[in-house]
Amino acid sequence: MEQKPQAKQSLPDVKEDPFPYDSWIIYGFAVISAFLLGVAIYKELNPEYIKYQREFKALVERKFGKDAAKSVTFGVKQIWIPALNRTDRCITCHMGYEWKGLEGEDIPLVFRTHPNPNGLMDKHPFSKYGCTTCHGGQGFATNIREAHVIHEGGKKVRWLEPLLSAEKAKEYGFKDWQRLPLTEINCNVCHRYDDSLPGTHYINLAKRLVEEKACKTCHVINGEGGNIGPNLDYEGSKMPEMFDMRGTYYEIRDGQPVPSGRKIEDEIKRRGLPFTVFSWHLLHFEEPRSITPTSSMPNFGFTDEEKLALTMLVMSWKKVDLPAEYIPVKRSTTQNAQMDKSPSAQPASADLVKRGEEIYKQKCTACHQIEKKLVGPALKGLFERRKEDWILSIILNPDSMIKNDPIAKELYEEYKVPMIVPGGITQEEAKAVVEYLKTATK
Amino acid sequence: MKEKLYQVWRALVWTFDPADRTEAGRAVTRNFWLHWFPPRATKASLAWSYSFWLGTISAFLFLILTVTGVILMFLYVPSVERAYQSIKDLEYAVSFGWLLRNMHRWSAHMMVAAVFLHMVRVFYTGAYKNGMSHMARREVNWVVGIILLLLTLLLSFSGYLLPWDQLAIWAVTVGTQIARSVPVIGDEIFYVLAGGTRLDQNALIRFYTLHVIFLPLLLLILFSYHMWRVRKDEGLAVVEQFNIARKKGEAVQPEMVFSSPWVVRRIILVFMGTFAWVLFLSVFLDSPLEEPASLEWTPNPAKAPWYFLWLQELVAITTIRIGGITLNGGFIGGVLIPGVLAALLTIWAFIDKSPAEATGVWFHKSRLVQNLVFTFFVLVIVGMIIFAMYFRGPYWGVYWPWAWPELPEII
Amino acid sequence: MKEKELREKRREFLKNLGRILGYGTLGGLFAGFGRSLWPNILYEPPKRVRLLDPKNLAEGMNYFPDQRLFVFKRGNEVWAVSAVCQHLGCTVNFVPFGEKVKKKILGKDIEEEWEFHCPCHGSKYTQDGDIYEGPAPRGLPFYPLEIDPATGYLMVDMSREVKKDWRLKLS
Repeated sequence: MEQKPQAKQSLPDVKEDPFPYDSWIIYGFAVISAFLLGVAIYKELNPEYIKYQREFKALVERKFGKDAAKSVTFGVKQIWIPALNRTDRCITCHMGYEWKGLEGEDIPLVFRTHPNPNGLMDKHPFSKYGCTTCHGGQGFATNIREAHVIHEGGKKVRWLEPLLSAEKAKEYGFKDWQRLPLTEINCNVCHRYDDSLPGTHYINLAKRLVEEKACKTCHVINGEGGNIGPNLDYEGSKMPEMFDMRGTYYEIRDGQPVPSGRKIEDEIKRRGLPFTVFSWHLLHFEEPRSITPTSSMPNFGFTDEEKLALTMLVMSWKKVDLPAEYIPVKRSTTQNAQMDKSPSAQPASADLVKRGEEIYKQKCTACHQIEKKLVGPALKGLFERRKEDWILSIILNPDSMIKNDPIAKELYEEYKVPMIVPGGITQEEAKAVVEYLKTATK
Repeated sequence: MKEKLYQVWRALVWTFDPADRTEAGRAVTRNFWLHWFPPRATKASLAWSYSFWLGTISAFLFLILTVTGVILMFLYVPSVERAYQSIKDLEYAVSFGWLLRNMHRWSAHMMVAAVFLHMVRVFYTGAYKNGMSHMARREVNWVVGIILLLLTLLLSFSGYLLPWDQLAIWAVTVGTQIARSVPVIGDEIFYVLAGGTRLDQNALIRFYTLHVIFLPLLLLILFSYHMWRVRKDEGLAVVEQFNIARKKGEAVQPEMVFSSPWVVRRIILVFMGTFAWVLFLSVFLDSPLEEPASLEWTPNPAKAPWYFLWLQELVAITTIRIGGITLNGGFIGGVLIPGVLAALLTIWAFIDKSPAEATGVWFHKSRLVQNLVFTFFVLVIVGMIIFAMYFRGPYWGVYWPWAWPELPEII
Repeated sequence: MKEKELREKRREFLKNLGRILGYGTLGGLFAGFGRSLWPNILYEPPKRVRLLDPKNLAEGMNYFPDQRLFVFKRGNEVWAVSAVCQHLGCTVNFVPFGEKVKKKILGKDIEEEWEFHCPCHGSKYTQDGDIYEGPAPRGLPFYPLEIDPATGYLMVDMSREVKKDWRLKLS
């Protein structure tokens, strides 16, 4: 066995550092890690929604006092509806949705009390329906981009239900985009078997057209119809991949379909429409043979409004699991007509005063007359006594005005009966009444 | 009093801060955490440029995965009704939930890359060879390493399904469809893996169980053997160079370094570096989550996880139609070619005929041909992954990465 | 000499700083992960529930079946008592006497207009919710009421209990 060479010289002292830089590198990594953890903690303590919550708390304190502001707490808030399997965290930012007294136009839209047109919210309480059932959007999310499903800069938000916003309606050319017409689609998801529904102008129009044009001759709709065309029962659940956007777009020349040299997706983009299934339907309703040249579906000459209405109807035919407690109450046509106080889809510029007069006669004359005092004060010379804002407010919010406004309080003291607007009233209707009163109370 | 405290302190930390050689030697036998180390390690085996410490990096990534994974187990629900929602909750409603998920996902991707690079390093340095040692069994450790690589891939794949979104379910569909093309037993394999004929609740719970306990336990056991084998074989392959020189009569005296505290400190360095890197990625880059899983529609395109993209590309290009005959790409590209490659890789340690001098040396000239062939395969695989990731767009068509066609939305 | 000392001191300082940052980061991360196990949102029916517009509250006994809660109104005072028997959870019956009755219960003289009797195993509670007969181990919990600033509704908070003489004065 060979002699082992002397070991002593090669054995270092245990205190001799063979890697003198190691400690410094470790500390470098420690500094970097500490910094990164700091960033993570900052992100955690400053989510996007916190500034909205702080602003809301300040707003409540300004308007209702410190005690009321105490009830505004920070953190993720949600409405959980197990029956519909929805979790809506919209209220994390939209904190004022249930508050009485935040209806004014001076309140930022995000915090405004949710409007209650014709008592719609009384029939669809938030705890039972949430937000996304009607408005779409991603309930799970707690930041604007992902909650409102905004595809920015090529980065898509991977969520199937879009937010049926005013901006989106504007993109499709709705004239009344401000009243969120697209939400009617979601009304009809549950109310599809109603003949008509108060407040859904486009859906009602479309259903009338379906009757008039006898669509069921060729298509199965709501369970019955012909099989010349495809079954439309769940047309609204069809995914984009089932629509051939890359097919040729045809133009009709001399009554015959002729390839235009463009694809369907090109035509959609040429018209400035969003690149969606919705737009596909608009094109198809306009001229079926432009999509399928051999189609036997006629060109019905639909107006723009009718195309939008029919597309909305068709997109509302979705496959949903509807629990029994959510099945709509069946009302007679008379009940529906009585309930239908919704403004027409046409902008209310036409004959506002006449409309106001109708509403005034319906809702106000039980207690008010122009010339003499009844249950409530006479309205002659109203605009000399009161500002227009005040008049509008008391029509829209008599309860809160009687509570908070000194003039209204005085009136209540005097007349002893609180002002009530039977059946509720919308902004547009109130404005119409005001316009009428301007002429009638001179 | 101060003296007493100091004594207690010393009693607790002396193994990490030995006062002299005797303590340094004893430390590795008296401290549980240091039991794997030898009293002194060969300095050459600790060089950054030798191993890049890839094995250690892989191990620490596994540690981060285990820690974040256990906490995630309190928060994630493996049911088809609740899984997606529990991940959404992690992203938006659980404090630091987003960080937990990101750290877990990034560590997973990094670990697949690290173990792969570790295997590449071991190959290039011929570290599966035994030099002139009669006792070493590095070829066995090589095989164990290949199995560990496979387990890492399976761990990543099984975890991929758990979010139960479109990305998950279709990536796993692509992967399991390839498994189905194994002749004779392919369908049976799928049936027992998925607990049914399609990916549903049974598949989710089976993948979950594989992911959280079965595969990690297997990995841990094999990893322990892997480490024990390294000690048994006298350390990393580079030490064979000194043994060879000595056998030739040269008087070599490899420089040695006390494990405690210097190797331990190195280990901590590698941990901190790995940790900082994972933290960096996790704080700034979010994990993807697509629409809820639905077998009724397919995202366009549907892609396998990145480490299987080369398989998917292979399958796509080996599906050939000649006249009336169709060659099943799923079998050729998905099973045959990768199967042959994997088998060759596994047994290579046994059939490598290069001399002992090539052990533990980067790019030894006697192994030039095998290194070139190996490099070729590695480049092709990596190339296919990059190609399939950035150049394959909707309908599996080829596009420039910045020019993928737009797909329509619903409204 | 001083140069070296300074350098040594700096090294020590930086070493300790590095150690603090390193352990601090790991500790901080684990603290964060620990925090993640405290739920921020719950998939449960809420404990603070809006009941009704207080002007719709009847004088005397009001019962809310969804919350299994009695709300009593006397003049402008209201208070809430749970209707859940503290024995095994049955809903207790409200037993009004129609007039003030003097009784001796557990050695004390009391005057009450109603009691709560549980139909399942015979537990009996006084008007103040005190258990005086039957197997229940404790009395009925009283919960605080408040007016919700948002809607003006009467709201009960079933996450905490209050004493039996707790009252909310309505304006």
